[in-house]
Amino acid sequence: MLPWRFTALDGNDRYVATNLVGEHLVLDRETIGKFARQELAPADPAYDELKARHFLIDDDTNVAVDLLALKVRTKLAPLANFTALHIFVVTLRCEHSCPYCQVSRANNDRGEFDMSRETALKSLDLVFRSPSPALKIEFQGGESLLNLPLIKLIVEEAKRRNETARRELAFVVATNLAVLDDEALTFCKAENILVSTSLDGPAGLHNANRPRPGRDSHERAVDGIHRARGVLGHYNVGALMTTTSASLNQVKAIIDEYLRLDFGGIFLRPLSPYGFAIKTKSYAAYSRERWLEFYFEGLDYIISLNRQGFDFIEHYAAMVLKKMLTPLQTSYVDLMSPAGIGIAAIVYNYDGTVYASDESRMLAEMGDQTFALGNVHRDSFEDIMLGDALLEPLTQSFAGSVPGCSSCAFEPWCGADPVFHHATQGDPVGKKPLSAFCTRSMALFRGLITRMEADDDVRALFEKWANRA
Amino acid sequence: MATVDVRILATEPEILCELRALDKGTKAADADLKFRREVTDHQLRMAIEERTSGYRDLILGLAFSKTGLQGG
Repeated sequence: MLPWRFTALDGNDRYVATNLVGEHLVLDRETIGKFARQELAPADPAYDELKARHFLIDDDTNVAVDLLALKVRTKLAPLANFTALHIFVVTLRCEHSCPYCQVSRANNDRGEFDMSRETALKSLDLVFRSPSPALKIEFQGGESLLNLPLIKLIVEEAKRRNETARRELAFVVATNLAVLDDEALTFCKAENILVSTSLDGPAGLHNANRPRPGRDSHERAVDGIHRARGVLGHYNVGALMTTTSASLNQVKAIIDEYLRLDFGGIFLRPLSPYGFAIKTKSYAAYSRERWLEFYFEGLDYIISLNRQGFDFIEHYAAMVLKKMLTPLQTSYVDLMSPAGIGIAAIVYNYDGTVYASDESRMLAEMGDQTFALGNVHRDSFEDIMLGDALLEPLTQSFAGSVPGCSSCAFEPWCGADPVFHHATQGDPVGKKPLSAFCTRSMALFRGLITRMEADDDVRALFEKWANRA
Repeated sequence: MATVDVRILATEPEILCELRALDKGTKAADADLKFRREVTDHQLRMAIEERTSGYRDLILGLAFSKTGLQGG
């Protein structure tokens, strides 16, 4: 018997078993009991399945352990690339005043919330210390385009440095598109920069979630999407939605809006417990169970759309399915263990403070500097990456070493998320039975497996998503 | 925010843990339950960590393996 774990799938005496790399099988209670007691006969049909997926070896197998080791190495190899995503908060200024904003914003005429040239250059020093062969620099705010001159400087300087560093360099501008002008578009086109925007759903919902002077956030976002696609190309413009209590009864309308605007998919995101979301009680406004209802209603709707011929993907599911159904990892920081903080993504704030993740910055805006790793003006790469603020939560939260996760069958697919657990329980590890992250993830894994088991067409669809994510 | 202060008196052969509420809203039974839960949780953490730290350190070592920071 090779290392494996199991857990109940549903109330029908079905169990999910996972091996060391997250390959899984659904087995009935009797079969899993026999296997656990090492009483499963080679003639049992489940025996060959377990053998093929490296749950067991026998005298007929001489390559299984080597194959499993190869899969483990494949899964873990990307870790050694270290930090690939570098987020520059070029300004905290924003002309929107979204009540759920997870990055507490400043009024758009307060220039002291802009990143300086010196801070940007010092941050770039750290970016190029990462050994990652691919470096993605993402510009965030506030509204990032309110500091376009600095974005231009960073892109120019990064490209200059990359002439010798020779990395695969990519840039993303995260913007609400409300202040998008021709200068920004021309620049993005010339420098091959992707655009990521916010789209919460149809106009009524989007504008209620995202107030701005003129109450025309949706109109501006849609107009900006069309203009950006026209200049940059259709697939170089992405959108993310934020779920609020007002979204919960509108999941189909939200998905329809993404379809109407010809997006190839949607990321049905839960609300994070940070920033104004907590200050305004938005986070407490709906329970984790209600979000799961919202999520699965949306997922089932998307599955039905695919049955009708629409090629449309749910990105959260796709990232999880990639972990479940392929030997590859996702770069989604929340679903990484060791956690992705610092070592997969890192944030350079407008004032030079370096944060372990975007969520860490949001927490800091609430007055909690636990995950502030240092400052680009004061601290070296070594100080930042080897400091206790990063190493302690990374080590403590490693899922394979914490109660509730180390024995969980879903651990190969799950993440550690120390920032979430610190924010909600005051501890980077957290007690998993009390963790909304754990509840949500377990329900998601079970929901995806149940749907695959019930319908071969859904399995085929999920396999397609897994290989595209 | 801490709601209970814990005073530990280690006098062999027993260890006496004295809980003192820091605010009037904290009930003794709740404080006792919470304290026991924390102790159990941390004992479990230590036991699992002892068993799995080699595996954990190997993987964390891999994450830092190309940074040039090892031995620092």
